[in-house]
Amino acid sequence: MDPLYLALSLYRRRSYDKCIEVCTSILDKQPLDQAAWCLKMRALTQRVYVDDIESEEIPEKDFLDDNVLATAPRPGTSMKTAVVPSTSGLSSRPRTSTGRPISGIARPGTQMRPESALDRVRTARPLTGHSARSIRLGTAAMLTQKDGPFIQISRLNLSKYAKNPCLSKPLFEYLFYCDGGVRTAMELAVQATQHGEFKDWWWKVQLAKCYIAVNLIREAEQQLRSAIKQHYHVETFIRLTRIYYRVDQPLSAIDICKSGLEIFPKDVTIMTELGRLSEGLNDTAMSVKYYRNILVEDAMNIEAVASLGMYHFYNNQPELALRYYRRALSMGAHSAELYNNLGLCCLFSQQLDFTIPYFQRALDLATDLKVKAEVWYNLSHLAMAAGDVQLAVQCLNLCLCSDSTHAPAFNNLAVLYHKMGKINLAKAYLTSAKTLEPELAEVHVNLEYLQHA
Amino acid sequence: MSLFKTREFWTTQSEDVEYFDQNSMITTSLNGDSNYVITGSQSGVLRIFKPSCEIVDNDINGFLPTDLVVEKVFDQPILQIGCGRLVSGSLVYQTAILNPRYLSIYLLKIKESSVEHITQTTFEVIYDHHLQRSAANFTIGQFGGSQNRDFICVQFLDGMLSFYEQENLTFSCFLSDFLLPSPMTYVKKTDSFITGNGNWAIVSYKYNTLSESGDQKDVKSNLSNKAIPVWTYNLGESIIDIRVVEDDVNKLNYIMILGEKNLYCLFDSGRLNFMKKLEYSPVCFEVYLINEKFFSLVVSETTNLLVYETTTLKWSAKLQFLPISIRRAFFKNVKGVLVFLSEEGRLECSYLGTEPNLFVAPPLIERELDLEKVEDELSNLNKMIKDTYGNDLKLTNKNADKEINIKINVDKNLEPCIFETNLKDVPNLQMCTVNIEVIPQMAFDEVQISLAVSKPLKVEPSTQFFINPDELMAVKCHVYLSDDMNVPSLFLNVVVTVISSLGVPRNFNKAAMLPLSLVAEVCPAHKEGDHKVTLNINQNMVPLLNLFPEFAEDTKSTSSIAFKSLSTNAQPVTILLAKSSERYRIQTSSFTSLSFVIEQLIHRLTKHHSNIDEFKMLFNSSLPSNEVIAYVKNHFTKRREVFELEDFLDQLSAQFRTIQKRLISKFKVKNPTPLTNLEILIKDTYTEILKTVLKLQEANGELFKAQTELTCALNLIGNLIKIMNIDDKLKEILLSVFCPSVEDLDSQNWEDVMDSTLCYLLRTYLAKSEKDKLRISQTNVEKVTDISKMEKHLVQVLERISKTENISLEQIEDGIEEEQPNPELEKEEVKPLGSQFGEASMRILSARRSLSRRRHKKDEQ
Repeated sequence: MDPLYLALSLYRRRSYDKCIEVCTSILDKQPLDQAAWCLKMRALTQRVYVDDIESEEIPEKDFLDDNVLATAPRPGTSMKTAVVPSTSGLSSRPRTSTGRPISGIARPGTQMRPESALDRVRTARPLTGHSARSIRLGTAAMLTQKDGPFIQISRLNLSKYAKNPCLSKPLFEYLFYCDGGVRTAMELAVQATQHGEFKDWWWKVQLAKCYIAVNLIREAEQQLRSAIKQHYHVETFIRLTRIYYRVDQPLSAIDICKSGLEIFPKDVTIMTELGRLSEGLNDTAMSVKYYRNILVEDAMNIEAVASLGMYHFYNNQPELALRYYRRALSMGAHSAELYNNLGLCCLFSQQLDFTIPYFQRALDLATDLKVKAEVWYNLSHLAMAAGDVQLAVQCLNLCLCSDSTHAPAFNNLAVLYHKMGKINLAKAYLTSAKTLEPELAEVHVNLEYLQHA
Repeated sequence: MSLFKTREFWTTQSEDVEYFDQNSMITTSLNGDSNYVITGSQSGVLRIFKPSCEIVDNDINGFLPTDLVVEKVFDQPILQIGCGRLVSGSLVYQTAILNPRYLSIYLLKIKESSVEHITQTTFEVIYDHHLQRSAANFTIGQFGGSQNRDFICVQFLDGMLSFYEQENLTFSCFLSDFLLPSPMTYVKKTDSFITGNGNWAIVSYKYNTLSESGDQKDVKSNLSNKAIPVWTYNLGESIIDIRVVEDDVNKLNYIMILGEKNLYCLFDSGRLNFMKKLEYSPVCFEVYLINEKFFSLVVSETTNLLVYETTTLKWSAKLQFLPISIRRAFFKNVKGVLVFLSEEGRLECSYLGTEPNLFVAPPLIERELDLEKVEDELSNLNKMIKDTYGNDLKLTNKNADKEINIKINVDKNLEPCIFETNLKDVPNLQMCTVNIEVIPQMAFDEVQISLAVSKPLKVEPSTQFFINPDELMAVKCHVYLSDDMNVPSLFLNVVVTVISSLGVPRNFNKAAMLPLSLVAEVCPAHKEGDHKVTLNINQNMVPLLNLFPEFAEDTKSTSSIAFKSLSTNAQPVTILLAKSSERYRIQTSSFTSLSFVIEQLIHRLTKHHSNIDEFKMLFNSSLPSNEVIAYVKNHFTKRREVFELEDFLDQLSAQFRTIQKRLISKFKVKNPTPLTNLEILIKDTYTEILKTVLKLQEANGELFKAQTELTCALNLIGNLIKIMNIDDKLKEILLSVFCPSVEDLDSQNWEDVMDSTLCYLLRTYLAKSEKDKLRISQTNVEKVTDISKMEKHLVQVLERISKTENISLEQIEDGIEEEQPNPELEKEEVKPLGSQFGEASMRILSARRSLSRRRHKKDEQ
């Protein structure tokens, strides 16, 4: 069999390492074989490729960031000033420290609470916009190459490759994903767009990707807008939405999504984006509508199932929430968080016989200390519902054993101790809750109450 | 993740090590009524299956050996299989087999024998084409509108296409923008070929155009003459597979493309019909049309089969294995079977099972509650709580010797110092070698040995870390004087911090005395001194030479000895023996030098008399308060200077950042604007910052000196308190207050802590009257802004210590007990810091009033 055919077949069968080996041996014999070179590049890229739309991290507010358009936006036009609805019901939906509702599914950029004291200690230099992930990918790829890097980036004649339509795109992906050299990739993209007389939408999207990586948001927006004019592609719409999200223009982001939906009706990816955006703007009704539409289109969408489950839970319908979470469970999501949610749903829908086994499972599965702490915290609610104050205190103590920065647990402990008559202890716990998470409203109310009592 | 699972009913597995690719399998009916499954491996084995699929008792029978119709071994790997009417003049379907260098056409003949179920099968070659280049794949179709005849188009690895009209090679041509061969298909309606090019676009070539650009005779001559595509669609990703769907009702053809990230459907004119972004990486797919609806079966890398109707997910099922190729087949009794072929040659026919494959978590061990176990678990959890909340008493251990053995060996013989120090003028600076041996008596996970000496002394290395030590751990280190200052104390503290094998942290302390000669030398005695301290002992006097034997050679007098610290401006400290009474008198003109001498004297005297129980030393004059206050004051001002400089630096750097930001926004603007002297401003700020940093460095040095001096003074006071005639409990408390370590934190100065502890002392243990005791002790630590107040407190404390030598402890204890039972009452009585002073002045006021009243009365009288 021709070695090139073998390499192609291995590439198709996803045996990237073997494919790289075969390509290397071809290149040893014929160092100028473009086909083998290209295939090796593709295999190297595929090996480390991650869908960068889903894993995109929106960086912390940068110190020199002047991309945000309005510094004092009007209510409802920004993520920060989203109208907070007056919630009623058994328990209002928890919010992150920035006041946004917590989403039903964990994805980059939805951390629940400040992670630990260490994380909160910011260095004097603020974080830059470049995500750490891409750097890590690059280094991982370099490590596996024993005899130096595959391509000597510094010696690359970019203008030559930019003119070669067959090599420029794979080379770009290699540079962007595998090598992590955004700058070189960007240079290549600029030259290739020029060479293609600005007719290739793909290069514009890639250029936008590079601009986002180096935090030139406005330039990225221009490129994406121009790409959309040329060619409709779901990815372009999503990327443009993300850009508006990043410059805190959620309404523009929603507009983009809606125009995307006109071209790609019922597209799950765009609807997911809309669901998330509406959620961020506290527009629960719209968000739920989109998530429901997603389920009609794609009944296996875990994010929609989880988000709807959470919506029903905080909407005083734990029975409905239970159904959604059971669906997620039967689809094979087997995690501590899910069991924990199931336990809570059972607790609030009075199916007490199931509650404890669910929590038991959650505890068995929780290996992460943070998750364990949350499970114990929720178990304390079970104890409180049963009226067993001693047990509740113990659960909360166990929660604090796993995570000593859990402010709500401190708050609840304080309330329990106050009930027991240990007012000083309650005060002490409230103070520590306050220092851990100053945004927690309950703590302030409780402290005030104690002060006046 | 899926609710359902595909159900297989017919499985076979190739026994040898063989590999298959996506073109290695087809399902075709050839000339029969039901489908054959033909597979060809890269090892060259061709197999033709005809699953019998008899329905027996409502159940389909699985693989039977008779289902394998043909098995033939080729010398070369089989790259692709196809079928069509490939022999001229025949309407029978033949099988085309592509080897890297051959394209062969075979005919399958099946003869029914007279006995039932027994057939005779022949599979023979009809003709073959020898290929000049390495082949990649081929496409079969009725090119050019030919009826009842199928032609073959072979794509080669180098981008050449060769067209075979049955037995003849018609022409060959090259594709433009070609690098790697990509899947290819033929659209009958438009008579064109669709494939992906190197630029990640879908291109469509008319058969006519290709034939015009091609040449039958000489392929090599027309390399430059490449065909021009009819249309291109810029896909932006490389393709995995491409299929054509023919809608016979509407006479439309659609092109379905499986990309690496998306699924596309194009019209045959090259416009997009729909696309779907895939949230997984696809492996292979199959498409078909039912009632004008597109159905795509996509296999994901996570071994799921997803069924889409256009873009809507209709079904998803978990597969048993990851296939590399998927086809639909129609057997005699079962229609629409899914046939999967894995990379290793597992061939499977299955259907979409509607019986949900509910995920069942492994059952919890639901036995009757085992009370003992539950009890165990509960006690475990309780232990966990206890451990986290455990009090610090656990950290120190009374019977430490049982767990760890620490030996400190201080070498009396000094060596010349090899480390770099800040002492410039001392000619022969020496260092002291200390050997520490730690022998663990039980298992420890981690052990850290750290050494601490008071500040102008330095120890190198100061920490040592061991993991899983099993025997003796030896640390050798050197202690030397690093700064030109008086040493407060010569104690060397060794702290061994361990984490036991159970994960419990512990620490052990041990102290040793460093040799005096490390920091001081003998010098002629002085008769006079500003600072004098007298120590009484209740035993006979010990001659000084007995106390300081190592200095015996250098001293002449027996009644006096003098030491001088090694630092540049050191003053001698003279120890004098009283002639008549049991007294030692220590005098010097430098207060800070007193500290280590007195420490030495006390240490040596205690050691000398260690076997006499009733030995006692006494210091019964008043504590030197003026000197201490001077050092406190000095420290306070130095600290304040540092603070001010830091504040200033803060301001400057904020200013610097603002200018930076302003400059960046100026540079970012496309039409450059004048800098309006910002560059001068930033330069100026920069030099100012540098200057301030230098000043700060200096101030920090001064502060360090002040801290050391203060430490000397505190250590002296501490040592004197030690030998004062005070109750043991009170002594302990006082010693903890006059702790000889001055730490200035960012947010808290030494004075802040000291002041609040002094206030506390004044109000509790050293309270003058019962009234003072009733006032609540100061609890919160506040910043000291006015040093004079703190000085006042310090003087008071020092005076009262001297006075309260004979204070009865019972009173104190009563006081404590009274305080404890009602803590809440206390809280209410908390008064703000300043209120005491207010009260004091109130008292003065009232005193004055009463005085004036009396005067008035007198006047009246």
